[in-house]
Amino acid sequence: MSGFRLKAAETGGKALHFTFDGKSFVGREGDTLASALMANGVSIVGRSFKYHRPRGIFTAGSEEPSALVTLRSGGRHEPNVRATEIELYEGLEARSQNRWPSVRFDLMAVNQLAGKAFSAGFYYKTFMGPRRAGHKATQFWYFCEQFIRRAAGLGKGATSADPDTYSRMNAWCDVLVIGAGAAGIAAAGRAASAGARVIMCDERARGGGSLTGAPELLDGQPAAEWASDAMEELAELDNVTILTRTTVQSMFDGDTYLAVERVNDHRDEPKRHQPRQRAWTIRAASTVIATGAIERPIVFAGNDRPGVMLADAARRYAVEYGVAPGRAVAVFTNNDTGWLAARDMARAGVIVSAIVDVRADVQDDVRKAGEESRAEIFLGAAITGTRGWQELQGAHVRDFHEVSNTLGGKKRFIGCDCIAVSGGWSPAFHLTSQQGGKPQWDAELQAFLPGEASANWFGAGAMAGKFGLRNAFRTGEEAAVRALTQAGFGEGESSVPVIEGDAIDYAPAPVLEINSPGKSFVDLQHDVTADDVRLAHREGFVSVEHLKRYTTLGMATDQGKTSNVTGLAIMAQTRDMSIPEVGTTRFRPPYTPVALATLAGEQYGHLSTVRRTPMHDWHVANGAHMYANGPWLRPESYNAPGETVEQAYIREARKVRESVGLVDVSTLGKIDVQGPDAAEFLNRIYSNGFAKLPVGKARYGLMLREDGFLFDDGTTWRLDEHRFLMTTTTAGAGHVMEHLEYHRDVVWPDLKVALTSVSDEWAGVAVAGPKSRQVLAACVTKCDVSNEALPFMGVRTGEIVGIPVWIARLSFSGEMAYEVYCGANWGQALWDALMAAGEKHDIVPYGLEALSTLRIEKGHVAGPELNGRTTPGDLGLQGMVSSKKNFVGAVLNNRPAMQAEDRLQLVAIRSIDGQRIIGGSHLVKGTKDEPGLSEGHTTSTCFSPALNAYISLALLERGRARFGEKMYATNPVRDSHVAVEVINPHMVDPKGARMHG
Amino acid sequence: MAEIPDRISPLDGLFEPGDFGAVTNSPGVEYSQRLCGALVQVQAWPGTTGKVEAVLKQVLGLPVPKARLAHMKDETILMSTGPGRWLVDDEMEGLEEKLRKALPSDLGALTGLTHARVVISVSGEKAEWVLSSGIAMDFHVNAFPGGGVQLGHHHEIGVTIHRLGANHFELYAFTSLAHGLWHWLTHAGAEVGYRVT
Amino acid sequence: MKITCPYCGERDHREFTYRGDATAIRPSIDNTSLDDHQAFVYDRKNTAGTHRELWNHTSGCRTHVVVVRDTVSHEIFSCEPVGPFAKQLARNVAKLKGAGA
Repeated sequence: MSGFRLKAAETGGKALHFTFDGKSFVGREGDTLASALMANGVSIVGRSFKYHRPRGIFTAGSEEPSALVTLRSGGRHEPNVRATEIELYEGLEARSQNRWPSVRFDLMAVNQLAGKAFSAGFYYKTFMGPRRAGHKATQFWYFCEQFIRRAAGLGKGATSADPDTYSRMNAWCDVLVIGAGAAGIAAAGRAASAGARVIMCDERARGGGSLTGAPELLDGQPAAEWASDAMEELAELDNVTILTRTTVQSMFDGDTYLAVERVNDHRDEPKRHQPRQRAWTIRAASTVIATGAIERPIVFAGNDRPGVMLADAARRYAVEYGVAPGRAVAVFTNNDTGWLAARDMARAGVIVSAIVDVRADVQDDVRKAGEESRAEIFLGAAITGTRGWQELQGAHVRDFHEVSNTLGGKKRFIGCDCIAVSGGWSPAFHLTSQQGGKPQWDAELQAFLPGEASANWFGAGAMAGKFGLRNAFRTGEEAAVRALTQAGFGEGESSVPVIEGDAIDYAPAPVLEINSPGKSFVDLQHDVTADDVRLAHREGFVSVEHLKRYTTLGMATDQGKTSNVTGLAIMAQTRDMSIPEVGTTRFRPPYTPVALATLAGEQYGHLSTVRRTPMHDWHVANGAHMYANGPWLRPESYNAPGETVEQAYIREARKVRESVGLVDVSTLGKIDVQGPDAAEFLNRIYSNGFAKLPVGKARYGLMLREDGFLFDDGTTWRLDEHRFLMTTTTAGAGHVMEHLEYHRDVVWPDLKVALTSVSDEWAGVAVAGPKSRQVLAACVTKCDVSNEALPFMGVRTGEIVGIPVWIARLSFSGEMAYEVYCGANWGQALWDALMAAGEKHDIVPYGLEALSTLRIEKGHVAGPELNGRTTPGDLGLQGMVSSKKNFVGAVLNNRPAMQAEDRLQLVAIRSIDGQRIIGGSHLVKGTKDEPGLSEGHTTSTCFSPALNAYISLALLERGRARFGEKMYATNPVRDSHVAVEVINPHMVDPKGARMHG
Repeated sequence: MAEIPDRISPLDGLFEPGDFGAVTNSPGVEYSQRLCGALVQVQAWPGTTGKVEAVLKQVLGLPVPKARLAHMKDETILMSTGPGRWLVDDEMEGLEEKLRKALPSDLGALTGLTHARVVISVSGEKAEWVLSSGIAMDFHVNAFPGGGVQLGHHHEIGVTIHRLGANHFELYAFTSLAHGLWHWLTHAGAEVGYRVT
Repeated sequence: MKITCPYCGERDHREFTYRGDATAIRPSIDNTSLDDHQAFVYDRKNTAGTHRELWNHTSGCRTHVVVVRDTVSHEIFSCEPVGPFAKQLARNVAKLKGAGA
């Protein structure tokens, strides 16, 4: 193929410079990359997936299987972009893919010489075997993989971060119109006239669809002009939103659609402050789908040579872009539209050398169009092969008998550098298929139609099998009326234009493959040939689903938009069945590939969900490395210059045991539980008793799931007779809230209990250490903090620097400790006041690591032990499971297996020889090389300053009976095998004298 | 006795007045923030809704709004936020104590949320557009009229939205999540230009 | 999928949290029959077709709703407040074998 810019189109349009594989070219405004390459005579734009055969431009739209390129470079590098879709812009930079060293000379093309070896099922036959040592096929795969990965594939992903942003948008409408062609415009106009909120989407830069290059006159106006006026009129209406460059990718349940707007893909860089793409979630009351139809080829030998393309695409390049697809174009068709394409190309100045039609005869109008094109006419004939090496030089034509599907007569040669082929039209019902709409075969149109509506959508125009402009306008309005009724509107007003132009028959002859020697490609992107389909049949893969997976037909990035029906036709013929009997596969969302960045939208980096405590900035300013704990950011440790995290947390933990420290506990879940039945409610939820908790006291509580496993823990404070403050684990807050609400609403609707999350209302600071009482005494007013007035588990109100506070004497560390809560907006002021009051005791802020170290030393459980598989008994908390009352989870917690003695039980282990215990280690008896079976595993690991050893909490079979036993903590993945002793988990102050003091 | 320290908004330090993003003549959207003097949630028990409504009317001097609506008077906003549930935003402190005296616990529950939310005002011609970009809710005035209250979510986190007028909304954002919400608003607002006042 | 919350109106399903089969009868905590509890937690139907289920409008008004949905087509037939349903449920709970124990 050697395309060129047509004379009539040479002037007009701004020149745009671009490069392809480093070579500079000039295109012009309004071009796609494909039309610009074609205008510059570039015929080979890529290499195929498997055989590395040269590939050219096959279509003029999003259905393109062949012309995939890599766009831009650096962080904006984007592989597998369809050259037929990307609009040309100044400075565009594109590269061909899957070739080495160059697209014209590709060493990997030797693959095609071994074509027989790479036939369907090649991978399965050559490499797949049972996964066991010594199996040859699988071993062979490991050996070959690196070479195959290089040989097969598409473009490569970017290696640096994308500098652009992506946005999202939510939209609601009464009538969504998908496709702004004739049917879409008719539907949108009608729907808008009834006052409905209308959104119309179209994947191209401008609406109009097939009107853009249609030869018809509408209301006496050229179709393209009429369309452009109609779009403008619609855009001016308040109740209409038009989204161009917007592909509706997916149809979901409940009339919800995902559309991707390419806001800035037609520019080198997005306009400042704009996203590159925007993902629209559109929720429609009803929808008109007017997505048109996709032309499909007739398959023949040598049909993948660059220069072979779809007839309507060739026509559009000539008529819409002013580019001749070749010096001499041969049209090969089984239907009338190929003839009109020939005529329209000739009118635009393209030389059409031949029209080859498999049908023996055509109607007069069509014949007249052929005459106008001045092409040589071959009726009852077929193209049986192509000639040329990299570029098409001509085609062989033989007589063809349509009914018997046989070739005859002499082989004739026609010179051409472009074959424009039309095998008829397949309605683009991909969206309805995604929702499970079962396509119906129409024997006359030789096409699947969308079938019955499975949701509130109505098909219009070619998508519904209603071809031609008159049908498009009529069915567009009809669909709009049905959609309006569905959405609860009146019928609106009709405004169909008067149409002058061709009236043709869109039904093709049922011929989709010319069976002659040579490779005939069905799926151009995945290199699936007609013989591969027959091979699949011979080997027993006859169902369409098996055919698809065995040959990979239709599994490429284009999802077989131009190849599915042809593949089915070949399988049907091979099985001697009809196409509907063979069936069809379901299209999957999205319609075209969607970038992950587009789906992520703005929800990443600093825009992702992060919760900060009121003291966040102080932590950061004081050397804390912030650590994600669920959505919360918490200080890991406060590192002095040059200090490691381990050095810092050991220093902090030691200071707490010696003197005093403070830690931000604002992240704990906090739930306000109020009402006359609040105590009863808590008593049913917790495994231990809460009914008799006195006012001014806190209690540690355990919650079980209904299956009897541990769910969450925390302290709950009785603030007054009918009011409690429940605290939960940081990570469990949301789940606990839902658990409580569920029981209140569904299980015990008669209880008067109000539940409100107050996690954000209260800032919390824990002050821990032997000097903690002195620190409080120095700053608290209106509250006596003496041991008598505020005993262990006591809760009181007071003030600190005038700020009203709740003070609860609780201890997670095992030291004397207090939790102080105040309104979140005062959190920093409270922190500052406590720091100042602790100054003379050398108070230290401590982070999550020290907090963990202290509670591990004390043997207190937390998230790693409450892992969803442990029971209170496992963790030594059986005493907190009341046998005197009924509560959620009690019955199933009593099952024998839940109470069995051989369960994993909480213990601690201590490293014997000073080696570090690695998190995630298993407890075993054997050596490093032969460790033996796992008898348990570590859960929370740290260095203990109190014991001066690496320690860990662990879950061990019959663990409580094994204190003193020597074992190994083994972690083969991290090459660690540490001798340990099993010890009682209450390692520091087991009697609790320090916290009660 | 020491003076009680000032309350600090979670947005302090981020909140910088000025024009940002694609502002040409006038910004598409304007943002401001405020802390409530008092924000109190009131919940009735099943069967006591009418009595709680009477208490609210008497204490606040405001008619009680129907579902998904708000009534305002002077510096008080009374919003309906669920079946038998209301949120009262008052510029003055002390509302919780005042209501607690009038509402014994056998009628309903009161929860102070004064520190739990920060109120972000979003106004301007593009307010609907900006909010739609992050909150899956129909902001069309037919679906969400002026004086309306909706509970929506942004990044799976709830946010209460009060529409004061055609182009004016107030978002009651969770204190710990306000930073993220603000980052999103500035990200979304940059495209149409935003002014912080 | 869209769910019409009786309080908030039509909303995206992502605002809701699924809370399971509404027809499964949860024994009361006063029912100590292991069989009844076991049946509730583990013996669940996997209905293909019309299904009555509980959802919580967690990102909205936080109330529970009873949704009747086709698990195959995901069509939603109704969405009601849980209140009256919970009362009906309580009567079924009382009929369980172990309820009188």
